[in-house]
Amino acid sequence: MTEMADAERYLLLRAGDAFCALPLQQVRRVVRALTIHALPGAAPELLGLAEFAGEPLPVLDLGMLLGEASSAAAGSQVAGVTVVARIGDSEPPEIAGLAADEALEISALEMTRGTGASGRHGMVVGEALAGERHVTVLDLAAWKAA
Amino acid sequence: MRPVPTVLASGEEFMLLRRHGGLWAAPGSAVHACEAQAGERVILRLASGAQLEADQVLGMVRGLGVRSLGAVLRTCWTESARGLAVHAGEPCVVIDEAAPPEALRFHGGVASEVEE
Amino acid sequence: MPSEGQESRRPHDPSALAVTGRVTAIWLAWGMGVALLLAGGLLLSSATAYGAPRWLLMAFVGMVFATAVLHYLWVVRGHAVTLAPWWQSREVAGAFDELGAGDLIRGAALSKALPESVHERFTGTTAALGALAQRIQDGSIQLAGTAEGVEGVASDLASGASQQAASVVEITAAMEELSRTAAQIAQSSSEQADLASRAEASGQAGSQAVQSAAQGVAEVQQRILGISARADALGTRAKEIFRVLDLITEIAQETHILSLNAAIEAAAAGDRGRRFAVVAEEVRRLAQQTRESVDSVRGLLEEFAGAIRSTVVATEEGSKEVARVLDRARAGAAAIGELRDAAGDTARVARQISSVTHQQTAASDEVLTTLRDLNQVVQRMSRDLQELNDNARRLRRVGIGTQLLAQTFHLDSPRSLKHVAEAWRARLESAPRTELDATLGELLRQTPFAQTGFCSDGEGRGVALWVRPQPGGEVVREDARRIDVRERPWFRSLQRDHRTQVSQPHVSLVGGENCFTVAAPRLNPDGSLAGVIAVDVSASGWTAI
Repeated sequence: MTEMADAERYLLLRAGDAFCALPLQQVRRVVRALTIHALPGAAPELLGLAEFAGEPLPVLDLGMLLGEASSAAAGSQVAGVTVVARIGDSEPPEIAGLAADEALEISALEMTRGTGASGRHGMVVGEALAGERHVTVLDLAAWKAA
Repeated sequence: MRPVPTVLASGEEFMLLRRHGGLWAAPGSAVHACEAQAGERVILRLASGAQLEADQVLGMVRGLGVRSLGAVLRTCWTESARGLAVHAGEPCVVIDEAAPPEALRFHGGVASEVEE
Repeated sequence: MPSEGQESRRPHDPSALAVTGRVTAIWLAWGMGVALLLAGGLLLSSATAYGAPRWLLMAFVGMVFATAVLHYLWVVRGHAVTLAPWWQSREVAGAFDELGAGDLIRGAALSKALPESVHERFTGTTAALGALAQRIQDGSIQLAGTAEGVEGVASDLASGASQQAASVVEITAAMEELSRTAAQIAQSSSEQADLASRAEASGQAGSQAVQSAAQGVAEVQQRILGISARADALGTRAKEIFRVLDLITEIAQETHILSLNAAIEAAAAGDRGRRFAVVAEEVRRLAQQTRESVDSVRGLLEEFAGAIRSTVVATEEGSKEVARVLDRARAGAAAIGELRDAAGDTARVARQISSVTHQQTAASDEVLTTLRDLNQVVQRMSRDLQELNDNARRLRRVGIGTQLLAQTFHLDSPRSLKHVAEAWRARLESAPRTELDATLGELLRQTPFAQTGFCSDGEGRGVALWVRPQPGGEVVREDARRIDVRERPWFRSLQRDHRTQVSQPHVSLVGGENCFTVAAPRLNPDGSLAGVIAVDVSASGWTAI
């Protein structure tokens, strides 16, 4: 087993055909997909509200954050996982859920290409190779309101 | 490292409504009148003069822990609300009686299902 | 045409001859008596003179006795005919000639010249002969009428018998055809009965075979149902295994998530969590291997389940197909059973038909035999009737012949043709010459049975001619010049004998039918033939006489 520095470790996720990596220190919990209640008038990437640990939790569509088509259906128990993660850089930290199809593993990645803040809400920061997979590296702290 | 919830109105009484499958909480003091419609449909007249339409009125509840909306909701949801709460394991939106969400508004005439 | 001195032209005058003969006989009787007495006296004297042999005395006595007898006969009884004088013999011969020619009237008239007793007997004889001729004439008419009736009836019967014979022949032919047909039907029915019996036997065998097949199919169905039940059980077990696999997958998923969260917590713990992170990674890999193993098992199990489903589907389809086959087999068995029963019924009915048709054939043969016998009887009857018809025709000819024979006698009767012909002659001879033709037509009109009235000259050439085209119809005048009777036998006889003639049947010169002719002569003062008055009587209508 290779010891990995915390700064280099990512949680690899799959949303549809896309793979992405979240910095491990931004991830609070991986749970089986939470029940999402749709919120009328919400943006497409906001699937709705869920309850996690007795608290209301907004859940975002990871695929749409990556620029992919929506892979999760709101209002229903879907197969997959919900990644509870800290989003933005506010204090106290704000918690949100990311709906993904699968949480693959925790792996140390070396970013092969930095893209700057791109993608919806500017959270895509680069790309990396996980084995033979190309993964998109997200930085949830880069959340922008736009 | 859990976020500290912001309790906005822990001792206040709320009327729980079911609308478009979601759970909503209206401040009890803001509800001026209730008018039953066909089935379990109810028209709520608020003190502000606004009228809300609910598919079902679940009842009154006291002591909801109301949290603020947060940046994500404020970014991705255009409506305004007093905050979020959880009732019986289900999240609900605590509405702002001064600016209730469009999805709950009743604009007169025959009460109708609002397209989501 | 009357003429003076006609009586003198007659061959004999019977009344004159009778008076002359009687006076002559009286004188002759007295003369012969005196001569015998003289001869007896001479013999008596001779006998006295010469010793008088006994035979001379006996001769004298005999002569006296003969004289007495002759005197009694001639003078007292008047029988002078047989010994009439020789000059009376001409009248006697004439009377008998007339009698021989059949002219009873003239014969009786000639007999008046004979002694009274002879005349009376002659007249009685001629009257009896005339009555006999009249009776023969009547009898011949009745005979001819009866023969004609018999001929008609026989002809009708013969015609009917011929038709009956033809009908019997047709019926016989039809009956023969019917008999042949019945025999064919009997043969066909027998063959049909055999075929139906074989069909019944085949149906029985087929029914048993189909029932056996149905039992086999039912057993196959039971086995398929057993396989299906086992496949269902396997499917149920496979579903249970799937649930277990789902549970294992679930556990592996939970374990995987748990290992991730453990790694997350280990990361949050910093250096103190490194070793825990390693364990968490091992747990994650174990969970991953579990998932992969479960996926592999799931794949195999899905193949197995697919095979089971295929087996179930196949067994269900097989079961349905077997059920259909079973239904069809049962339906086929029922149908074959019905067919067998129908074949049995057909065989029974065909046997009955065959039996009945055999009986019908026997009956037809009997009827045919009877019809053939009947045919022979009818044909024999037809021949007999034909023969009867011929006999009747012959009898009718005999009647005509008898009639003609009777008509050879000249009687004082309107039914005597000679009498009629001579009455015609008397009427025509008394009529003016200019009215000869009209008188002939009137006479024919007054004589219904006559077909033709004809006058000719002495050479047989026609002078006047009237005919009656239809029996009992009107008479019409025709050209007499086309008639020439010179070659007729009756005309030659009449030329020769100058006597009224009745001919034999011949073909009429006018109508072409069979007829016979009665002809009376007209004589000139010198006794030569002046002409002929002839009447034709139709052979078919003569019975009207």
